[in-house]
Amino acid sequence: MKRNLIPSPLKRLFWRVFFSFWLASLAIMFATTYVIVNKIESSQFIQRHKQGVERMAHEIIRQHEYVEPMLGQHARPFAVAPPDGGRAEQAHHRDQGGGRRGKARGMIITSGTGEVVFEARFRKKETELIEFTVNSSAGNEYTVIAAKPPIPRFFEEVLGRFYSLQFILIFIASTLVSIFLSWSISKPLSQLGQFSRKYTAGAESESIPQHLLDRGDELADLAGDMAFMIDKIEDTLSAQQHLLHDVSHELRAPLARLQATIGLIELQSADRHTERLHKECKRIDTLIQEILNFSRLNREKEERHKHALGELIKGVISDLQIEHPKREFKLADSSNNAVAQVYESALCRSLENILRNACKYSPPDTAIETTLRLTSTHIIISIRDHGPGIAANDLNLVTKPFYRAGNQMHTEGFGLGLSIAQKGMEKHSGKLDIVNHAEGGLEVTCLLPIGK
Amino acid sequence: MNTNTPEILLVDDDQELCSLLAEYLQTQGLLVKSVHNGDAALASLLESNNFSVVVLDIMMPGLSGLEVLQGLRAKNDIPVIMLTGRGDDIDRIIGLEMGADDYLGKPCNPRELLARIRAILRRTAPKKNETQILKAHNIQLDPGALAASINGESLHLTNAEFSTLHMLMHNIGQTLTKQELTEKVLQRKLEAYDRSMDVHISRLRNKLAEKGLDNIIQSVRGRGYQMVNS
Repeated sequence: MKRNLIPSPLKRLFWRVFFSFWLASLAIMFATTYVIVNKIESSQFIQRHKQGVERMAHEIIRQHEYVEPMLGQHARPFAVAPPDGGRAEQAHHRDQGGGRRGKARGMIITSGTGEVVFEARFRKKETELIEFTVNSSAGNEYTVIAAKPPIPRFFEEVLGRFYSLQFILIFIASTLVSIFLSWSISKPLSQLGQFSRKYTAGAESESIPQHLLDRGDELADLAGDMAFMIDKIEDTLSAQQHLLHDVSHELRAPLARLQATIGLIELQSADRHTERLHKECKRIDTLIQEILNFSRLNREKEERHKHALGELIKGVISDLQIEHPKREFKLADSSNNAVAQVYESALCRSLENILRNACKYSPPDTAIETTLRLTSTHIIISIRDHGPGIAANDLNLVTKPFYRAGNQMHTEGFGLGLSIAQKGMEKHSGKLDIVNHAEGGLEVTCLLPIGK
Repeated sequence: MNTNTPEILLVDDDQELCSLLAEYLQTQGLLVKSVHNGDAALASLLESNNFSVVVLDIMMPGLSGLEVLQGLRAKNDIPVIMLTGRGDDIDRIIGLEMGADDYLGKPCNPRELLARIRAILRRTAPKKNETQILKAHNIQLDPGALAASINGESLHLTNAEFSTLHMLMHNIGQTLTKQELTEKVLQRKLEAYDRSMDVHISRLRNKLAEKGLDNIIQSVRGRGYQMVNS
């Protein structure tokens, strides 16, 4: 039940959905881009490369046909490339191919007669060849065999693109979409969770937010099921409440008749026995009332209102002062007139029960000391008596209904006081701390979280 | 029949309880008429003006005690003691706000019921020896005739309200604690969570305010109430 373990963020549905969707969408985008770029770029590249080779071949052939005969020189590999055009071609080529190192590619140009007019040695890795024919302007046909260019590293290109604005936008978009998707799943879930926590904490007036029920998806079904479940719980609880109420009413009727009868007997012979009967009737009546109070605390439709805490405590004390006129009650209020949102009747009933308990168990000439103080997170109301305290192994048990420390059947109590106080605290999402004070007596502390 | 014997109207759906309580009260010198539902109670009150006190159970099937109270307060100011389940604080407050004079937790010791009835009877008995008419803030209060008026205009008060006003005017300028007021007006001890006097005072204030007398009854925080000097 306890939820105090801080869950690893990666275990949260939000991040899981977010990361899986985000990574998947990024992977798909990578893959798609890669494939497309690869396909388009490679065919374009080969096309461009071939045009480059062709232009180069044309130039060489032009030289071969016009320039060399004029100069009377023989074709010599490596020296053939014309000082200007060739270098230009090569430079051009380098640009196009991306990353060629200025060296001529392997190429063999053979004239129609089988004479090798140009030859550039092939490098080792240049194993794939392309072959095509070129018709020179003089009308001769040449066969050109050239190395196929290696497919450049497209990844680099893709990565290059990645740094471009376009990819940053895609990146942002996919992140946003992932966040939105993740949020749209986890938000309603956490709202449902929030609702159920509030409901458990006793805010019965809360109902499941309508927009969750109107979503029309599986989460709306879940919300609907929860609403149904809550209706069932409400039905059961209110049936229980009704039963308890009816039972108590039915029990009180014969009790009232009993008391009236005792009264009549008393008219003839009043003695300690009739007095005793009255006392026991009163005791049964008080018990019925306490049980009703105890069960009511859970279900009472009470709303939080702003109250000055000091005044609230003073009110409870002044009412108890009427019951215990000789008892001294001390209040140390260091809250500077703090005002807080509390369930008034639940809080007052808690305090009343703690105080009454304190009165019951401490000697009549000792004071009951109440302190009210604030921390940044909690309202702390502490009530200390000067009684015998509670045995250490009973401390955790005294908030159980009908449990009486040391199995004492106190003539006035039913063992419900501290249980009622505990319930009142639970209603505020707070807690009750019960300890034996170092200097004797019991100290009961109410811890109420602020700002809830 | 002796016309001086006060008659009590006992309204409770529990017939056996009614007969037991009637028997008890009759042996103590009171006349008792028991009825067992709200309609019969209102009918009895219409028939006769002889009742001195109504003892009214709040939890009744049919017309509830609170509805009966509302119905009868529309017509007269007869003193009403409510019988409420213990812890039904809301019922008590609502009852007092509707003009009930006092309440008693049920089940109760019949002795206690008798004491409450007697307290009311004492209060409602015209006090022939108190002829001193009190005057303050244009209010004229005649304890002998149990009548109050403002500038000659008569003021309709329940018995508890009249006694409260009487106490405050009698002790004008002094603070009366809730204990004192409860003991003198309701003639019983103040109980824990007893808001009777606060409700009577608040009703009284409203009635005075209707006649243009605002803020003459002041709350003294943590101490009690007082009527300011005129």
